[in-house]
Amino acid sequence: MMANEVRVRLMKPGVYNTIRANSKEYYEKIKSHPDDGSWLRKCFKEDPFEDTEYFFDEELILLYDDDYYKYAVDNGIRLYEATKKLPAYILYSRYFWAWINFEIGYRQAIQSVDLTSVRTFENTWFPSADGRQYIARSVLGREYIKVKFSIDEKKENKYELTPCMFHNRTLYIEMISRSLTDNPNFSLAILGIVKNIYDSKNKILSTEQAGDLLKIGCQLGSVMYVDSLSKNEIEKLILDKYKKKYTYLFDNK
Amino acid sequence: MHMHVGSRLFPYPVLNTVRTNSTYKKDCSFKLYFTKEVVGDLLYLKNVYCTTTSPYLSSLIKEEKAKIYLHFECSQAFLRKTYEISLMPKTITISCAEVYGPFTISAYVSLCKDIVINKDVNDFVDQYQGVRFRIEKNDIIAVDEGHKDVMRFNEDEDIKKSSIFQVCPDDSYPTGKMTVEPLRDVINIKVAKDVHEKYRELSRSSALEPVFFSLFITPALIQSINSLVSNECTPEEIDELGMDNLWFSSFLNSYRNKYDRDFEAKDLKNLDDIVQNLFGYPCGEAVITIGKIFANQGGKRNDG
Repeated sequence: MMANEVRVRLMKPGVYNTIRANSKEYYEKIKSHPDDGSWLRKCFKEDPFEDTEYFFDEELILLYDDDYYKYAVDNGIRLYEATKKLPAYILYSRYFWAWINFEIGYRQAIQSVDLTSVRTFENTWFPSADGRQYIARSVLGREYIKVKFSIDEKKENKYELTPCMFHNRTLYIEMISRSLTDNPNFSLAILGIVKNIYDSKNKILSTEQAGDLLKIGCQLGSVMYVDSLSKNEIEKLILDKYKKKYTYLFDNK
Repeated sequence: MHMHVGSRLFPYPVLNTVRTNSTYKKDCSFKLYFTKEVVGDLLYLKNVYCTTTSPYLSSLIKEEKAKIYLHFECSQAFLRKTYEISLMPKTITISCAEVYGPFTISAYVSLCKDIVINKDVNDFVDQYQGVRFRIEKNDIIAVDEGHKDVMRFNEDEDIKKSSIFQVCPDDSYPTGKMTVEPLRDVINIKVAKDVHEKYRELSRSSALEPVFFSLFITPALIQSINSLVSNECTPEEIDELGMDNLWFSSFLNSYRNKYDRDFEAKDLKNLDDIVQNLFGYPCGEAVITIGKIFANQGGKRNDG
């Protein structure tokens, strides 16, 4: 273990399941402790977390401000960069994100979702399973996914498209619901269009506009093997159809 | 949630391995072959190649008007990869670290350029015979999809692992009521709040494990399997159920380890015995455990 390395940990399944089984009680506790997650340790005689064989290269520190959105993109990038080398079975494990939420970014996790019900608490803090739909909706897991969808290693600023993911909730929900977005050429083509509209019109797409963009994109896959296309080819094909429906988003006025 | 052409209708002829979805003649086939091997941290797809008995499809591929792609998709881990393959064998290497849970492997042939199919091609079913088709670049013209598998990381994982079962309270339940709810990952066993409190207190003692396995876990697993698997399920369908339900996947693994063969629908008639066997026949052990506790308390009886 190197000097600055931090061992990656997981919440113990028994602890996790105990919390889920008593979600109302823990929902109240988390609501009454907005600043510090250390209360969890006092609830269990044993350490609620267990070590894995993996390490972060250095300590993962998330930034805090009373306005969550001030550092949301920065924190997403920090989460992504720290965790990107982890194997998928850790990265998409609910036990891993439970550790991140309590031990790394408790205050940010509290801020990121308005806990209005026990059900919201269960779905966002303690999802019932691992994998795509569950982690993508979890408190800090979703911030990782937003960066994963938007990172473009070929660009000088590889995070150029990342803010688009954080500024449009509909777009994010549409993207995690469709497997075609797992193709980076497709997701980057979509985000490229979103960014161009934002840059030229200073406009964030509405729910309907974002939904239609994904719908038109996914329609390409009805007879076409989209995965064999380059990002530019996909972008052109989507734009050809999208411009017909939303001409006013592209005119020069 | 993965790419799935299935029975989608195309406005032109498509050769599909699933006969009912194919608009080529019966003697025309397209098939993907490969063997899978995990060595260390790498997943090897070896001898990956396709064959076709369609003279027309074969000519398109040989004339480089169409390309074959192997499509690898692991939706749980946001992973989707494509590899160009051919009629000649090759090896594809994928890092296991990128894969988690169920994945699918398929082969698609798509066009490299726009083409016009002339009336004289004889490979299509009668309805498509003698019709002129214009097909665009990148359109799919042949499909062999849905080879499924699961990347597991804890092959030795014991089905007795507590996280597969979850005992939770329900405020509305009267004492004594218990219901079983199989979710994708775990089996939820719901009990009354007072019962749950007692359970939490007592389950800290490993000595009482057989008691809880008899009372909760064994009936819950039997009920869950019976609600999931029907007598008509084929081995392939059972595999699919394992991929969709992680608790069932653990059961299938344990079954395989214990009986050295795969669980089949015909085994449902012996399910009571199978589940008890996997758990080490906890009912008898539970009675003996309770007997020991009773004896340690001096054999006091409160039977009047």
